Amino acid sequence: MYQGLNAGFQESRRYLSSNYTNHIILITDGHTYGDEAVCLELADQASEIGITISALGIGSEWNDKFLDELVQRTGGSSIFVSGPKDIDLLLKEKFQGLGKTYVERVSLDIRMIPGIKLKYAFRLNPELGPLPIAFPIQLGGIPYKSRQRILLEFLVDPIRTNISRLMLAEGHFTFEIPKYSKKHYRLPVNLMRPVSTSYEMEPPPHSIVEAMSKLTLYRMQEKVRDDIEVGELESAAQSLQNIATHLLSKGETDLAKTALLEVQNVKNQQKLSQEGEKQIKYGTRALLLPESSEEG
Amino acid sequence: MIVCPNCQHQEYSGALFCSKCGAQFVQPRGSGSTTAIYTSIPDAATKIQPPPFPTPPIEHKSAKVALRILDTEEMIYLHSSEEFSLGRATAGQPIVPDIDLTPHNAYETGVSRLHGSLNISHRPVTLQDLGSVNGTRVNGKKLAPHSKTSLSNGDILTLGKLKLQVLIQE
Repeated sequence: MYQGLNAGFQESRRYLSSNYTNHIILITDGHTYGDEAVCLELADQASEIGITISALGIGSEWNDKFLDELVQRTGGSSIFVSGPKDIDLLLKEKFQGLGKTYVERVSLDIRMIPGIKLKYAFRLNPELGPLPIAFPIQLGGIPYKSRQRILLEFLVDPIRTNISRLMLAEGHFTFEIPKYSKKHYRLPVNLMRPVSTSYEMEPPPHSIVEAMSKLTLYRMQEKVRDDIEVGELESAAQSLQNIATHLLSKGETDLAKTALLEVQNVKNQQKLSQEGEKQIKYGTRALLLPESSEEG
Repeated sequence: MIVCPNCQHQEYSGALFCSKCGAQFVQPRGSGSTTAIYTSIPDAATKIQPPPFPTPPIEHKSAKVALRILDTEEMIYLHSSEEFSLGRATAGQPIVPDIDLTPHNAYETGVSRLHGSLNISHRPVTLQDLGSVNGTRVNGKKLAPHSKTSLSNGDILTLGKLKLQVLIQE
């Protein structure tokens, strides 16, 4: 993989310009031949000079965790392609998205206040996928008239009751707008939440609950994989069964069937099939994505 | 800690869902029901209690019908015309929609350039799908292309995946 990735990197670097979108699309069957570490180093180099990398993983034999880490370092995202026939469509969508990029090299750097811990980070828009929980987080670009949406889950130590607001974290976004002569921007971020001693909390907005409902399924499949790794097969099978039930209630019958088949694989073979594992991972992740829009 | 009523798994206070079985602990703002309503349609919208008709800003003061973007709570006021086409404007498009939903993520959510048409001249207000690619739903029920459907205050319109609530001052 390194050779291909490096060839793309050298080409992008040769034509590198802050007036353009600098992006590498890695199409891979995921065979890394022991060169994973150098690929990650290359991703760091790319990120430093403003090149983002996204990946299309073809087939089912690739290491999705590695590919996720590779693209995360640059602010890109990975997509699962079950067969070559989907590549054309996905590339077309990718190019369309990149062509609309307005803001580049978005980076979030925040510092948690003592007693606050960031437990999970996930990007909903414009790309979809888990984020590393070490700062600064690279977030890639934002298309014109679009927005960047990320979910951050914090764990808060018990707090004093005589305060009305709690500061969770502070820091800043940095980003670039190639279109303007002043290219570098910095936006302060202060994350605060109201504090109340009464138990009656205001219910969260519908859009947050909806996103969290789907994200919960994605995280449940992450947990299934962790459970299988440590031999908690019964727990994994039960969680998969639960995922299938929720998928059915959302009308995702094909994905639900895949999850049910994998329940049998866990019970009989003590593992998930490679294909099923990726279908469930990227299928539950895709629930969070607005439907890919056809031109109409 | 919260104990999940379904599987007894323990979660930190503040969790919205059980990480073990996926059970939902809270009801979102605006949903009065404690039971989720599912139909055979995958993305059927649960009807959301409409808020009172808001006082429009001065430039839209004559508006009696408004569209509320559910994701962002932004309002679009309809007035000074009887019929409004809904869609998204793109460069070089011969017919531009009256209501351009581009600022509301129309492209990303699959809204067609000319997606639907709202007639507010009489009551009931009517909606027509204009043969959109990704379809139009009212309260989860898909509309046949080019046929008119009556709307009531609070109905949820889904254009592609963009959800709006129609607010009608009675």
